[in-house]
Amino acid sequence: MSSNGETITTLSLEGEGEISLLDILDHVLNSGAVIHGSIVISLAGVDLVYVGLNVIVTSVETALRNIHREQERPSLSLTSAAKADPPPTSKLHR
Amino acid sequence: MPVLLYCATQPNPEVNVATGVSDAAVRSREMLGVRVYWSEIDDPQSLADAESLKKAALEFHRVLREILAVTTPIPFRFPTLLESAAVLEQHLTPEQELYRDALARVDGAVQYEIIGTWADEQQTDLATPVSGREYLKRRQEALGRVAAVEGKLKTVTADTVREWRGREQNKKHRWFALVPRVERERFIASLRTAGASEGVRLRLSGPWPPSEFVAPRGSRG
Repeated sequence: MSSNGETITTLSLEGEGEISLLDILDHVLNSGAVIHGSIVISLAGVDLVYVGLNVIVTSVETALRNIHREQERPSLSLTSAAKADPPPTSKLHR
Repeated sequence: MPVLLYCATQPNPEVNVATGVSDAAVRSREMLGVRVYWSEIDDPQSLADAESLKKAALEFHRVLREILAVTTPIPFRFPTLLESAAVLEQHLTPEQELYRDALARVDGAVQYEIIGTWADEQQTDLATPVSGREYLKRRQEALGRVAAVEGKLKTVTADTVREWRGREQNKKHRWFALVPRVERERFIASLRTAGASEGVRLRLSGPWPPSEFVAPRGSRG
């Protein structure tokens, strides 16, 4: 996968390849700084922050597929956690 | 309007990224000694199904990559949404020192990830109970294999890595290397010279934003 001046690749003993969708989902969903008090998006009643915390590299897509399968219709809940849990705090998480 | 946070970087340089998630403009502002990047999201409901979420995650990743090409970002976990840009500083204030410390720690570096997979470990039947002694024996063997590979990785990459971290996950071991930008080519070249290790497959990916190095060493946040 190429981008402006930056290419992310994989390298194994067999050779190089493009980074997989699974790699990308794992990184963006499972790592990074967490801000408490942020709006929580839920898929089928499961808060994404918990999906992100609990899924593992081999099951990111599976988890998303299962969530998608379980819901007949996509639903969104937007919760302002800031209202329920003042004052807002952030947390550096990995 | 709700905002989706991408990352925090050092105040300079400012990176201009044309569009982000849902084709929204990517904005940035210096606050509390760091620069924060975000997009206003008209309709957060557009992220509320698996396919849209996947598409948005890829767009999020693209923005981070464009920023990573210029400077080192600390990403926010996707999707981090706040009520509006007006409350950004309020949310970042409690941990401002941690952000600044983390940015100083990863400054000028990128993250590479190496996943080690052991063929016989993948075939282990977890459903069959084993004695405590057998479990400990297997555990000891697994730790020994990880230590052997880790020793080899650290030896061959030597002075090209600023810091190593690692963890076990799902019968695999993941190593993370914080590599100064100027050492990237030497780092990859040194890994190529390492040769194969019997029974283990190593897969390298990167460069990534150094999210594994955001928390201080020994902290699990």
